[in-house]
Amino acid sequence: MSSSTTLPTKENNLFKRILKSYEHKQYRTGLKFAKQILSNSKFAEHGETLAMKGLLHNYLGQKEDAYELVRRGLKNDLRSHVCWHVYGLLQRSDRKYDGAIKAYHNALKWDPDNVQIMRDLSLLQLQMRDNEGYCKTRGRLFKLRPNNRINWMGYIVALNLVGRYKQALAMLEQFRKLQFVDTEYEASEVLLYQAQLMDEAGRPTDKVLAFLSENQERILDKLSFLEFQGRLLVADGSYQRAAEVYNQLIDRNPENSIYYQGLITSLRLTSPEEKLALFAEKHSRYPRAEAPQRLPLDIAQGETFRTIAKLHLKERLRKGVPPLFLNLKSLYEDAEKLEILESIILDFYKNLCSSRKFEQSDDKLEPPTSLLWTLYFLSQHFDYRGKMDRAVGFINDALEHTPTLIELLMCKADVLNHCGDPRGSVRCLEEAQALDTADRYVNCECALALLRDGRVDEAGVMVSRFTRDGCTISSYLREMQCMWYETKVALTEKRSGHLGQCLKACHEVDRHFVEFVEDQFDFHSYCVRRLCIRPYIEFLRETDRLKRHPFYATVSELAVSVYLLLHRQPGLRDRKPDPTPEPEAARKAERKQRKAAKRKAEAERQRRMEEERDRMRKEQRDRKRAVDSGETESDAPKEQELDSDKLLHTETPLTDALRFVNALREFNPASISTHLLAFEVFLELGKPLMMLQAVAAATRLVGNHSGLNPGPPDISALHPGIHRCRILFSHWWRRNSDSLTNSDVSEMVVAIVSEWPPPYRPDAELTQTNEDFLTRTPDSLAVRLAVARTTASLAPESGPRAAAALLFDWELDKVRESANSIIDALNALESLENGSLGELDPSRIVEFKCKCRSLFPLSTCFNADQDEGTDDEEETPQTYQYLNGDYF
Amino acid sequence: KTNPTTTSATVGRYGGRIDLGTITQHNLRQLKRLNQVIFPVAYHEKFYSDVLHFGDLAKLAYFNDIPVGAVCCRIESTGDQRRLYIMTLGCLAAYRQMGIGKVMVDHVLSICDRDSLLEAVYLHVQVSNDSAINFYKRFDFEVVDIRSNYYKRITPSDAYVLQKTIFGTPPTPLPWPQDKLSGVVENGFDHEDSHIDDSLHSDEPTKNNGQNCNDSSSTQS
Repeated sequence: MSSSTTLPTKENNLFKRILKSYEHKQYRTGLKFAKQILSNSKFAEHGETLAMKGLLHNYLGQKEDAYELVRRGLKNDLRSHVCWHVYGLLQRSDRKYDGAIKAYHNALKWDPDNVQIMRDLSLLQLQMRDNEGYCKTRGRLFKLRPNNRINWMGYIVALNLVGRYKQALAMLEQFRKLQFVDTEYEASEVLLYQAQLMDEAGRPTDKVLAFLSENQERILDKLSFLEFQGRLLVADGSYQRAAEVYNQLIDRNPENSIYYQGLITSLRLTSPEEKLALFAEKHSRYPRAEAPQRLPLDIAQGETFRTIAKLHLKERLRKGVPPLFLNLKSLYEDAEKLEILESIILDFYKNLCSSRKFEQSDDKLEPPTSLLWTLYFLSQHFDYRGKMDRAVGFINDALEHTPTLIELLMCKADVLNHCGDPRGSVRCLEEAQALDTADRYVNCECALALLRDGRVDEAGVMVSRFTRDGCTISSYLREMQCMWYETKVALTEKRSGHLGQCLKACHEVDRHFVEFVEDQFDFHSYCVRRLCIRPYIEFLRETDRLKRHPFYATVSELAVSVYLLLHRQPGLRDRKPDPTPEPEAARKAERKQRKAAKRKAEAERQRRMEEERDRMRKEQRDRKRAVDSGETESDAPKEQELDSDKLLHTETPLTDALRFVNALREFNPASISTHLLAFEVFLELGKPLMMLQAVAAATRLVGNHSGLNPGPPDISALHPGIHRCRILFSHWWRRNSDSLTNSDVSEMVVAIVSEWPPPYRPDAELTQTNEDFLTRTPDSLAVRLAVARTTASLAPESGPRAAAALLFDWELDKVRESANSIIDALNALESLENGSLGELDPSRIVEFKCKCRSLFPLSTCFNADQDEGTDDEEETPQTYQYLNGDYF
Repeated sequence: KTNPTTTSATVGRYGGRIDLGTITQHNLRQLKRLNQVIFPVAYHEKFYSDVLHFGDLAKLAYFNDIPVGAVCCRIESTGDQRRLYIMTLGCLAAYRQMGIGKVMVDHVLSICDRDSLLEAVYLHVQVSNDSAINFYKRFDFEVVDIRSNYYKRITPSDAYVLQKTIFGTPPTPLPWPQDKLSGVVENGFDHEDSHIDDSLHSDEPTKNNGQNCNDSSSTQS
């Protein structure tokens, strides 16, 4: 390195030893050498040494010193590539990639052929998806060191990513000729990659096929080979050969439904009979395979379906296949199949009760487990159909038959949860959990149920039975990136009004996604070095789509709605969540008895929490000690623990929300709530065009009133969310259009809005439109809530009272008849409780809960006294024993 | 999943598969739940904590992989005499007449085969429990004693002591209660599985109030 130019031999040797120590992660030793150089007054301000010293400090966790030193070093020696490189490394370690890239570029200015810096730069460019830049850097590396196969393959991948296929293929061809590969498997991978690249480049299918056939012998990954070949043959229209390939694939794995689809296409089977015959043949050949037995159920109709389904059910109920219902659930979308399945299973039930047979014509008697699994299926069936009392009845019968089967308890937990009885659900899962304490899945389900019941602390204690010893629950879950849990925590905390905690959980999940992107670094060099290019490229593309994941969507939506609440009701920040309202006097006596038991449970909980806190303290101590002694040598910057209070007291809730809104718009454009939430944020930010864009996107998703096609203004068919958006937009426009200076925007807005149905335009009587909307669908709680929220937004002073009234003013019988979910009711309750419809007297909230209770008679989540039922083991089941009639 | 440690399976009635499995701290609750449902008496916590160390003497019975029954024994030594005592043996009502009881008794007898010092297997059964009495008769158990007021909280409170002698001099058997024998045979319904209610012999009828009436340990003669 050129650093030696300014240092005499002795110091220069010391400097080299600094570099060596750094490479071997002996940071303290490195610092000693740096001190030796700097203590010589002649070199006290030696730039490169200062920079290196800073870098070493960085890895010892002393960030501030690090930046100070590196900047000083850089100032003293702006022409040193070492200083710039170090500055780049420092920023990279803090994930300031843009800055790091700039620093690397500067370093290369002073040492244009420095391979190490170029390599570091290329990684960051790829990480930032600067594909063009990456390709350029890789090209230079290739020209500098063409003997290294990594430089070949790196360049080829780069060319692939920017779409320069011709050059990539030419190089790949050359690459193979140069005999760079070490093993046969590597050669095989390169061949498959070349075929994939040819296909991606749009080469004629027959050429690609010819290439594959030519190299068939040398391609060792037969599965990929066959799958690829099959796909190409179908595309090429070589159906006969395609059929052969798919038959081979089915032979390898008779469970993959894609192979059957491929085979059906290749054989050009169109009629259901032909397809069923094919599956029958495959079934007789692979009698143990599930796919050729399950797939016919998708195809068959009517009586054929009945015959196949009967046999299918019978075999599996006899064998005891717990996920049977789950496997068949997709058939329920077909109303006819649903009816058939219901009649089959009810027949089975009747016959089993009367004669121990599924059907009278059966020659053998069934073991008791056949009845058991039939009851289990029946309960799930009626749960799906929303006939809750029958679902409860059947599962209770099943549990009486066999109280030790864990699946039954889990099913009952689901049913009760759907009834709106999260507490009962917890009780079932606690029992299930106790029956097999080694079952982690049941443990997790139990924790989920506790979260649904709003008991975050207890859920933590539950999962802690499986977490590592000597590690706090939260840090363990964070480390394990346990997002199903954190997402549920976020949901629960929001419902309970703990907005800070909710935000914290949301940000935890967000951090995991940042982490996933970070984790790519490990693969950029590894995959190219090992020549596993096909999965690598797929991995890069998949990483770009990661945030489509439902976990990310859920926490983003939650975070945005919380930030909106914080913006609109700043007072919420300081509101302590209310203790549950006083129970009615009649309940008090009853309550007293439970108190003792509760106190005991509470003491136990306290003890566990205490332990947890101790562990937490210890962990912090350990971490601190580790940092002090320089034991932590990780490259990743130590993340600051998220602070719920800090998140809650943000000064810029809208800006914070915008980050999530943008992610939602990019990765979840097919969800209507994305656009409805985006609208609310843009409304608060006062951005009319963005608002309209959101409304248009939401409208497109719902499918009617596209804006382009005015049609008859049938506003009753309008989505309540879009209804709200349009009214709020017109309301906003009326008050703000004058202050708008940009006339282009005005014109565009006017043009778009004029396509809306007249009642929604800015000159309309918006309050009236809002009320009319309710008159048309008065029995939907979701509509009531949307209208109520809109009323409150239209007239912030007088509105709330009127708005809240809307949530009380319904007729029980009619609302019962229309499809209202418990979620709708809970959403309404949440809006009443968090004050977004104005401050309400607590007694009104109790009143609302009472109404909901009569609407959902099996529910407990609307009980006025939240503590009710904690220890009444036998409370619910008796009343809802199996009723033989159809009650809904 | 439910049953990791089974012995080789037996095919029971109607093609059901019967296995025996080890009781561990993880599935102990299954035993508790079964006993709770099957027997009219509650067992003390100590009973369950002891069971964990019994090894082969305590087993869960699985029918098609579902835990539906259990057997718990202990070895009793008085002087130079060693006997196997069946504390509980039973299965859920819905699974009776499947041959599960037989598998459990066969298991108990196989312990005796392996332990040549065991002189006899014995148990208590409520005098009214006809089906259990008939069930054990099929395994050559004999009534060797009647203990009055053996059970504290259930009526009739008297118990027969049933014993199968492996070696040595068997005690003089009392005559089998005749009326009961004929009754079941005449029944004509599934007499093969007459161990319905092979449940009521427990030597530790501790009751819900938590008092441990451990007097029965003195019942050995």
